[in-house]
Amino acid sequence: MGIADQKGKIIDANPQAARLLGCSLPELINTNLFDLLVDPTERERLRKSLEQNGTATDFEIKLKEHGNHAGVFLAGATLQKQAEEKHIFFCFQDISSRKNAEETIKYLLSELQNLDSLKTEFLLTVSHELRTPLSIIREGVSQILEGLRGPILPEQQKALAFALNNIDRLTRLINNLLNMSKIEAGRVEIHLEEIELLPLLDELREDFQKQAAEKGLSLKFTLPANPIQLKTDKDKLTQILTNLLCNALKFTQRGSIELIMTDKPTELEFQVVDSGPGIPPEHHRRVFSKFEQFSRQAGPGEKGTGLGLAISKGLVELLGGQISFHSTIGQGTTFTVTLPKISGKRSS
Amino acid sequence: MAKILIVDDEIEFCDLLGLRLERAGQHEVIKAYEGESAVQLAQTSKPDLIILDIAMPKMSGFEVIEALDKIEPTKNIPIIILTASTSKETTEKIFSTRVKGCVVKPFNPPELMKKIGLALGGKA
Ligand SMILES: Nc1ncnc2c1ncn2[C@@H]1O[C@H](COP(=O)(O)OP(=O)(O)OP(=O)(O)O)[C@@H](O)[C@H]1O
Ligand SMILES: [Mg+2]
Repeated sequence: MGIADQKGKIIDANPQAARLLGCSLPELINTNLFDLLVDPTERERLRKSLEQNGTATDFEIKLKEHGNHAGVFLAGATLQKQAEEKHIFFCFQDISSRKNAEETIKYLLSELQNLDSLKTEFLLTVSHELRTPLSIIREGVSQILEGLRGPILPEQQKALAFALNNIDRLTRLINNLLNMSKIEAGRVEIHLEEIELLPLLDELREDFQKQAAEKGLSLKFTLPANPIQLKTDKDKLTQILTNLLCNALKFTQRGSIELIMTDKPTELEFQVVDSGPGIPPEHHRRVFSKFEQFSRQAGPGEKGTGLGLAISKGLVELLGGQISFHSTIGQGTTFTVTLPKISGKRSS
Repeated sequence: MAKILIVDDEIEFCDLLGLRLERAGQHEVIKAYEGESAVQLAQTSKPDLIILDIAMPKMSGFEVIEALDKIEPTKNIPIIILTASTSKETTEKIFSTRVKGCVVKPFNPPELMKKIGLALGGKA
């Protein structure tokens, strides 16, 4: 602490004050208190506060650095009348440790953000590097299985079919991880265009018809009679509906799957309805979370990663829409996606 | 039957794909393992179709397309991109060229064969 005249000239101070600033006591005496403040507007603020209120407390003013004493702040000052003259009594406080902690938190936060984008970058690279060998393995296996390399025995065929299935599973996993990571990093690009919906849905129906028939399920698309256009991202919409249809198909053992599209005044609604086992209420909260799977089927069939719905939700939201579901145990599940007719949240 | 040039720096991949095109598609196959010889081979052998990888050392697939664009006998040869990259940058660049299709590795054989058929038009 110390004392200065009304203009700020330091008349006296204790050795601690000098030590905090990293200078000697004689150096400190005769310096101007106001000059020690780094920021000129802060200088004014201090001056005003002292003039008007007689005190200046509770505000931090960074002091000029002497040596390494970066975190020294003016903790408070009062203007008091002593004898005939007014004097400023002031005191410094070293709050560098708090400042350091704040800096550390800031730094850690930015590091975390860096890590996040690094993760995406890493996944992008890894995905590319994995795809190349995977494509060679897949093509080799596929050629033997197709008989392009000569005849094979049924036993061999069986083993290779397992191999091929799991190569494709690995590929789906890579794709899902990459998609999820891109969504989380805000790196999905949306390409809006005016599209005809009925042909797109026809294609989807064709893709799923065979799989449904193989499982003994009926697949029905209930669509408006008239052509419908929508400004949206075709690939993303296809991906969303594919995910929902895949789930319906995967988890439904008997009965039917239906896709219903409804043309509403301001939005389009897509519903995927199945007569499957339903999702237990205790799991509803986590349906759209990453890596959550509640009813893994034993035996063969497509094994998932629990990312499909998290990705779908991310994509629906990027398209400016909403996704929800209701489900009754033993009766089935309905997922509903609504997309606005005007435009998506982001465009490119 | 058509003459198809496969360009990919992965020699094993070229060999596998070459065999498929020969045996399953009855096509004549020529191969190049890097961009420069691909451009040369395209000039001298005049393939009906080029199947092109993108990420290759020295000369990328995009640079190969650029080079082919500049030469009269090769500038109209249809191209199918076969790449391990799924980035939007790739697909966007592809739209700006005379590329007939893009297939991502690992590829699905029927899908690739269908695209080849379409790109070749009557020649398949
Ligand atoms: N139609 C449905 N009927 C019953 N359960 C469902 C249905 N759709 C999703 N679920 C449940 O929600 C979980 C999460 O679904 P999600 O699509 O995210 O993952 P997944 O299908 O298991 O794997 P992935 O989609 O990554 O291949 C599923 O594992 C399943 O337990
Ligand atoms: Mg799924």
